Amino acid sequence: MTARFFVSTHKGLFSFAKKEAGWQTERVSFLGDAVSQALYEPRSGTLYAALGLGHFGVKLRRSRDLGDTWEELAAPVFPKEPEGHVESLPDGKPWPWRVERVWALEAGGSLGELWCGTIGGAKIGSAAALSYRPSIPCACTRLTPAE
Amino acid sequence: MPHVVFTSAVQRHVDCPPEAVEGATVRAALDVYFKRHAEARAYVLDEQGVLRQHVVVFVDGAQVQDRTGLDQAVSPSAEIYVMQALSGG
Repeated sequence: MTARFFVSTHKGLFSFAKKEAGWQTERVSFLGDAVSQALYEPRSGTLYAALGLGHFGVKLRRSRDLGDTWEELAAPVFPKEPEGHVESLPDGKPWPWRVERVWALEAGGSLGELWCGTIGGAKIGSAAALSYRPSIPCACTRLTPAE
Repeated sequence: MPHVVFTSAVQRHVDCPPEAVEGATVRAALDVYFKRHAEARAYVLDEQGVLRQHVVVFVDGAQVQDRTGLDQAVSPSAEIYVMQALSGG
């Protein structure tokens, strides 16, 4: 079994594998695009990557062949902002109600389950849909195998 | 029917070919387009249904000002052009 690790960078996702000559760059995915998080889920052999595409928002991709090919998954989103709702961040700016970055990816308890922490870290909720708690600067979602 | 066109910067990430769609407003035309090309929606609109902060839409060369409602009327021969916002100095 080949040992490898993945490095998420502002300019792509880099995969390194241990060969006879030592660690070598094996593959580059999303060259030029910001990858905020990556997660290899060994039970299913699935590699996940969260992108921040700047103009076009946060995206979530999945690869079943270690990065040779990718498919798009529905990225985590906030629920619809209630009309008239006003809430500020600690710095006084309005709460965005928009996912700005995936900060954490964690494998869930069941095969194929994935948790995304979108603001403030990997605080994990229990709802299948994106959970939002005004008192905790965090939003999380769970992706089931069907998704 | 209005024609919806995406800049190559969007097409690099998601399938969004130019297409003619039914629709009397920008919103209506984009809704029809995104029913056909569902993955393209999140590249243009955020989860609140608003045009992404750094995306702009032009109708026959004039920038759409109502970024939330997108209620601007479009003629049957209109070109709706979607691109990333650009700035510089």
